[in-house]
Formats: sequence, C-alpha cells, structure tokens
Amino acid sequence: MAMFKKQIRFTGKHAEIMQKYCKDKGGDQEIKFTVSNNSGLNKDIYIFENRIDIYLIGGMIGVLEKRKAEIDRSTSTYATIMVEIIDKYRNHLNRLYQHMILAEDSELDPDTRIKKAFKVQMSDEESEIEQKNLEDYVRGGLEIIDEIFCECKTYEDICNCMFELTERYQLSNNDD
Amino acid sequence: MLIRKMILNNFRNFKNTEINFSCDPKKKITIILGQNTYGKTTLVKAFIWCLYKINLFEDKILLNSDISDYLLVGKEETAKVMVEFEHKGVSYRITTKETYSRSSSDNIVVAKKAYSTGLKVVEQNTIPISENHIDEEIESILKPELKEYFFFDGETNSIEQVSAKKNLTVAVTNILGISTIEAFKEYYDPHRSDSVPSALRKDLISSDELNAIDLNNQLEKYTQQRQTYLDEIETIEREINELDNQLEEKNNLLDANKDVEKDQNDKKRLEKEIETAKFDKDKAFDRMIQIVNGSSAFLKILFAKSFVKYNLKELMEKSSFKSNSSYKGINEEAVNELIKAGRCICGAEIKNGNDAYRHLMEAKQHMEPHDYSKYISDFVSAEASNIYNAETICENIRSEAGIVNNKIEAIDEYETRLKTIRERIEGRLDVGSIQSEINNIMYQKGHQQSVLENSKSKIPDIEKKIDDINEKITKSSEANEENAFILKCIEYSNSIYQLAITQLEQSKMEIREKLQDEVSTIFKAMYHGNREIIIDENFRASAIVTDGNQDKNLDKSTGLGTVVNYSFVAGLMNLAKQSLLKNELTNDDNIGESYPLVMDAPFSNTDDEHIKNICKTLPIFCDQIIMFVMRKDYNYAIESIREQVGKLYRIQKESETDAIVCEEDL
Repeated sequence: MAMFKKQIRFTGKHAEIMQKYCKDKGGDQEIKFTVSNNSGLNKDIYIFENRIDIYLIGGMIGVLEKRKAEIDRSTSTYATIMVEIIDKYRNHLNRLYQHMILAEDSELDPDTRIKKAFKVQMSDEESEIEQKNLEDYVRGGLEIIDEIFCECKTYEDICNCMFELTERYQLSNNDD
Repeated sequence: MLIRKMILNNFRNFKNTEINFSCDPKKKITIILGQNTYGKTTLVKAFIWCLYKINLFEDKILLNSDISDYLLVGKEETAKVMVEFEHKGVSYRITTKETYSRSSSDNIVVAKKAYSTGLKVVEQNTIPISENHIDEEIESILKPELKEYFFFDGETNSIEQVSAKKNLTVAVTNILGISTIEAFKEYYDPHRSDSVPSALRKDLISSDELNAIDLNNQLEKYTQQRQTYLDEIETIEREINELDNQLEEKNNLLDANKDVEKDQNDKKRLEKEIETAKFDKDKAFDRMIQIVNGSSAFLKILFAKSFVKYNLKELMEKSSFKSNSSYKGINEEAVNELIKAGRCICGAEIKNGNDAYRHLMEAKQHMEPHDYSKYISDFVSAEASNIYNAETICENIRSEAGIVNNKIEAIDEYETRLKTIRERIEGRLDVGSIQSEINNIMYQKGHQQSVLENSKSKIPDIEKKIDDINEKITKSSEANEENAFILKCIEYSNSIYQLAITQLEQSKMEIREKLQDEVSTIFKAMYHGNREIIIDENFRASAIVTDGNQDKNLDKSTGLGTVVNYSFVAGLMNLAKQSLLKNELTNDDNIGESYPLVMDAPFSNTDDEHIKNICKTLPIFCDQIIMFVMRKDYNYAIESIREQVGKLYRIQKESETDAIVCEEDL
C-alpha cells in the first residue's frame, strides 16, 4: 500500500482541536485545555498523549458516526504528524483504513470491498484519493471529539463526558 | 477596702465610662447587667490592671480599637483606668495608664508601659503617693496573691474553681493571720543563720578556740547550704504554683470550650478526609486519562464497535474468501516461475490453457500478496478478541470516572459540613493547641516536682548536721560559766520555737474547723439539697452527701459546685472579718477590715432557687458586692436582694468597639 508515506498535516480548526486535546502541542501558538480540578485549582490537562492518537481515534469516531469534514483553512494553525511517527503506528493506520473501507456504504460486493481494504499496492493518485477520504473521516471525528469536550469546565464535566463516550461506543449500545 | 468609683478612658470597648459603686452598709450590692460579650469581664479585669498593672487580656492592646484605628503614625493615645477606694478611713485614688503609638510599620505599639499614679486623703489632707511606692501601698492593702479571692473575672479566675485551688493554704494563712505565727517560728528557727538562737550562739565563748572556729565554719556552711536549698524550694514551689495557675487557667478554658472540642476534632478529621479525597480524586482522574490517552486502549473499543456495528464477520462469510482456501507459505512469484518453466514440481506439464495452468492461475488469487482469505480471516479473529478487551476497557474508564465523581461529591459534602463547623467555631478557642499546652505544662510540672523532691530530701540531713554541730558548740561552751546566761537564752528560744510549731499546727487546725463551720453554715443557707461541706487539710472545700460518701459527681444541673464556691468565698471573708485569732500572736493589721467581692457571677448552670439563696446570703457575709450578671439571672435574684441593691447599671453596647455603662432606676 502506498498510503501513509508522507507526513500528515492538519490545518485550521482541526489543527486547533488536535493541539487542544493533545499533550504534544507544538505549533507557534499553544492552545491549552484548562479545567478546574473541582478543588479550586485550574489545571492544564490533555485527553490524548500524541497527535497520532487523536488522529486514529478521531478517524474511527468519524467512521462510526459516518461523519466527514472538509479541510478547514479558516485559521493559520497547523498540526503535523511526522513520517517517523506514522511508520511506528502503521499497523493501526492500516487497520483504520480497513475499517473505513469495510464499513463504508457502497455498491461494491463483499469480495471487491475486501480486496480494496487489503490491497497491497496502489498508485500514487489512488492512494492520495483514499487518504483524503480517510482524513475527511478523521476531521469529522475531531469535530465530534471537540463537541463532546469543548463545554467541559471541570474534572467532573470531563468524567461525565467519558461516561457518555464509553456509553456511546460500548458494544451493548444498539442506538445506532 | 471598699471601692467607690471606677473611670475608664479609651480602655478596650469602654471609651468613656464612670461607675459609682454602692458603699452603703445597708445597700451593699452594686449590680451591673450585661449580655455575653458586652464587656463584663473587661470591667473586672480593669480593676486588676489598675491596681496591679496585670494585663489579663489575651490581646494585650488595651487601647480602644476605634481610637487605635485612627491613630496616625507618630501620634500617641492613652488607655486609662482610675479606681477610687477607701481603706481604714483613708481614701485612695489610683490611676493607671498605658500609652500607645502607631509605628512606621503601621502597627500599634506600646509607647509607654503601664504606670500608676496615686493620691490618698488622710484626715482631709491630700497626699500624692510616689510612683515608686504605689505597688508597696497597694500590696499593704491587698496582696497580689490574694486578689483572686476578691476579683473573679469568670475567665482567667472563675468562682467555679475557687474551692479547688492548689494554693489555698497560702491564701488562707495570709487572710486569716497565720502568717504572723509562721514568721515568728522562722525568727526562732535554730537552723537559720539569722535566727535568735544563732545570734545568741555566736556570743558563746569557747574553751577550745580552734575547735570553735571549725564548728562555726561548719555551721555556717550547713546553714548556708540549707538556706540555698530552702530558696531553691521556694523558687520551685513558686514556679510549680505558677504552673498550677496556668494549668487551672487552661483547664478552665477547656471546660468553657468543651462544646467546641468535638467540633474542632471533627474539623481536623474533615480537613484530613478532604485532603485524602482530593488526592484520590486527582489520582483516579489521571488513571482515567491514561486509559484513554494511549491510542491502543480506546482504539480497541472503537475497532470492536465498528466490527460489531457493520457486521464485518458476516461480510467475510458472504465473500468467496474462506479461511481454508488460503495457500499458506506459497507466493505468487513462485507460481509464476513454475508457469514460466512450463512444468510443475510434480512433473505435470503447464501449458497455457491446460488444466494445470488454469488451476495455478486460480490459486494465485489465494496466496501472497493476494491472500485475501488470510487477510480477512486475521482481521476477523483480531477484532473478535478486541470485543472482549473493549468491554473491560470501557468498564475501567467508567470505574475511574465513577471514583472521580464520588470523590467530588464527598468533597462537596465534607466542605459543606466543614463550612458549618467553621462558622460555628469562628473566633473560638483552638482546644487542641490548649491541650498541647496543658501537656507541656504537665511535663514541666513533673520535672519541677522531681527537682523539688530532691531538694526537700536534703533538708532533714542538713538540719540534723546543724543540730549536731549546735549540740557540740553548746557542750563545748558549758564548761565556761560565762556562757551560762546565753545558754539559758538559747534554751529559752528553742522552747519558743517548739511552742510556735505547736501553735501553728493548732491554729491551722482551729482555722480549718472554724472555716468548715462557717462555710457549712453559709452552704446550708444557700443549698436546698442534702449535702454537707468538708474542708480538707489543704483547705479545699467539697460537698458530701449526708451518709458520708464523697460525691464525685457534683450535681451540675442544680449548680452544686457554684454554691460550694460561693459558700467558701463568703465563709473565708467572714472568718477574716471576725478577727478569728484574737491572741497576741495574730496582729495582722488587715484582720477585720472590709473587702469587696467583685465577680462576674456564674449563674448559668445554677437553678433559680440557688440563685435566690446565693443572692440573699452573700450580703450577710460580705461588706461590698459588685456583681456582673445577665438580666435573666438578675430577674431570678431580684426578689431576694432588692432591698440590698444600692446601685444598678446596665452595659449598653453602642457598637463592637464602644460600650457605655448606664445607671438604671432601682
């Protein structure tokens, strides 16, 4: 597969979401996620360790919620995931792509869909289209994450959001 | 000593107050009414400060806080109390002042420490008392150590505790004149170097000069040694007495603040629990974030969800890629080589279009890099195992989030309770720190007592040595006839010494008996129950039930303890008035003189009938009573004492920093 060969770069509000909820801030302008610890102290916290984590989780949430979002360039903020990191997480990235293809509504019969999901080689043009498609889901998922956590002011709020998140994606929940 | 007047200027919460006390023998009582915190205790402490310059306030700044708040840097203001009293026909006016200024660091500081000025009027002549002699003059009227038997502020010295005081022997012997006999005994004590027999012994002429010098040197050495120990004992006893007073004061504070003790313990426990809960909450939050923030754990939940939601296992089943159709270990490149060679490993010919060729072309779809059966099969088995993991991970996240929320709720609840407790104990005493101080004082006292025991144990040996040396000196002097008269005198002074010892013991016993009779009579007039008073060898009073058993649990609801103490004070004063020991040995000038009883009257735990009885009985035995009471307590007593009240005042609180004393109609 020729996907995930280059560094990944997010811009605008999606880059801001990545920065806000990740420990690994980077960029010129640090976007903090500050909440009260319910004991009178305000703390800068993070939900995800690295940008690759929020990328993968955002991508899966996008796939599960069937939500895509276009590239945003409303601000000059950017967030990059370096090739070295991508290489390290390649198995997870491939798995994310496979879920996207297998779960996607399409006219394709099961054999074709499986072949597409596990295809070993792609042309540059083809892989660019597929990666764009995947990152649309990632952006959609990032927006959902932000919608869940953006109102959090306290530890208690965050815990309630965690409850909501696990509730939403627990296997016994059939609200889909 | 009868108190006529007191004027306070800028003193604590009294900016300008004048109180004239009743000195009418038929109307002995002055009542000052005031609610709690209005300043009743301040007025009692003002007497003590004015007369003895002893500041009994916790906050040592005496200047009115309104005045101190507006005091400019470099300027001075003075807190002042004037007390006018009469003693043995002489009028005294004592004024004590303390001057304050504001320092450049904006603190109120003492610019001039408490100092007194005084005047006395003797036979219509006004004589100033020099500043150096004021303390001496007041001490001659009422010794500082006795003041606490006449001035009860209810806080540092409360009437509730008086009959249990440790130093009662000193007080009683002073008040009742036994001190004179004690002084007499000391004067004839052969073990003292400055006593009569010692002085006489120095005049003896010895036949053996060298031996006499040696004996006298030894005598001097031992008398000095004895005196050193006695001085040490006196110092330690004074220190122990001071420690006892501190203990008594601290225990009174503890008793008065018993209700806060539980609150203060609860407060400490809650603060600790809040601290622990906060720590646990933060740790649980961190653990929850750790589960989420590494991508793999939370990602497993999402993979599993996707696998189930989109029936991906079913997708595999619907496809032609079955797990058993995979050619494991053979790849497309190897098959291409066989086709190119035109012959299989088994020897069969491979020719474009024949069966072998078609079979190999079909097989290439199920081997690397197109082994989709294997790929989808691996995918399905990996995601199936994620299903189990996902449930556990979800549970762990929820569990940690639950801990955080529970801790937050607990902290909220603790903080609400803590706030209520803090409001309740605001401004109250820290009982825990007082208890630590008590423990510290007890430790110091224990140490001092062991030093005291050690010093006391030395005295009999030294006295024995002194007696032996005296005996030797006497013996060696007997041979010389010129010594006969002196030896007779020494013998005579020894007899006086023995007589004084006997007299002292007898006097103490008599006083104890009379004090018990006196206190019992008063107690019976005041107490409506079935008990009697016993005075022990240390002059401490206690009430026993009539069957003779000591009642350890004083009946608090009827205020038995209060009645015992009032009886004791009244009995002590009455005994002093009666000039108990009218023999030649008791010539204390103050016996029979009047003294005031100034008290913040503790009637809070005393029933109505006892309040009436106390108020009715006290004036019979006291010449002047200045009583600070709450109006509700006065209302119980009014019927019994109406005829004896000469002045009635009430403290009116204008603000927290300004109170005045207004006279009311009787």
